[in-house]
Amino acid sequence: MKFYKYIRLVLILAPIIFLGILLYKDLILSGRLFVAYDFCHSSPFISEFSPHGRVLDIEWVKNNNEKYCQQKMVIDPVYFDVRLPQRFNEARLTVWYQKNPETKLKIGPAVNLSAWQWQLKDINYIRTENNWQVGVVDYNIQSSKLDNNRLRFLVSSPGLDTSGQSIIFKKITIEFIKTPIASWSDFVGRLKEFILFSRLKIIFQ
Amino acid sequence: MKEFLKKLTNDLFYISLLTWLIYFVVELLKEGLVSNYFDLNLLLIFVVILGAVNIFVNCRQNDRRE
Repeated sequence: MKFYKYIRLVLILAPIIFLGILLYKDLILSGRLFVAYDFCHSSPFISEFSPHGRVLDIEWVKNNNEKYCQQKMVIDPVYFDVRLPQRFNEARLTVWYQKNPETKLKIGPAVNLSAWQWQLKDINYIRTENNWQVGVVDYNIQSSKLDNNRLRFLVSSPGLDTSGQSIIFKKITIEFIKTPIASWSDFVGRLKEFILFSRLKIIFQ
Repeated sequence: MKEFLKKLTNDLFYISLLTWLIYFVVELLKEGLVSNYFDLNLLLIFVVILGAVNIFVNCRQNDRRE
């Protein structure tokens, strides 16, 4: 079985190469990270909406040929966290929702959680997709303080509970943007930042 | 062929177990590095199944020899 040593080599190399791919993906050399949460499947990046009670159970909906999940927000405010692999400069949030025109909707990331400072912004309606309103907001998150590598978002709709209205969410996507790596010094800087985001940060402290 | 399968099962088990351990430590050091893209539990299930197969294929043979 002379050829067996080659099989063994492949078995050993495969997990090493796969770990290399994971490292490459986590370094985000392009400077763009796209994360999505569709309420059907849990996302490793975006948490579920909380606290439960202000948002109702996630509903599975089969409408004509379309299957999707939705969640109703009945009391303001609700929160969700985004676990980031590193720091970013900007974030572009896109949300698919249904609400009455008079119901206000603001979403924003925490600037400083301990000081309860938020960067709340109105959702800019851009189009309608199959009865779902699609809105976009851009944030500058350079000064946002992360809590355990997590960026907390607040979804606000003042007076939602007293008005008896609700906001239904179908999907959330967030594109995080930072400068892409263009030179060797950029790469070294990114690597340092990568380590600062891990438990190995004691090396630099 | 039988010898080949025995070797393959044995190597697959030890390599996948070692891989799981290394990935687990990496995940502890940098949260999300593995779990953001790959479910480590799937690998653990694979390791457990391979472990059971490995005991059946290799250890039973050794018992008979003794």
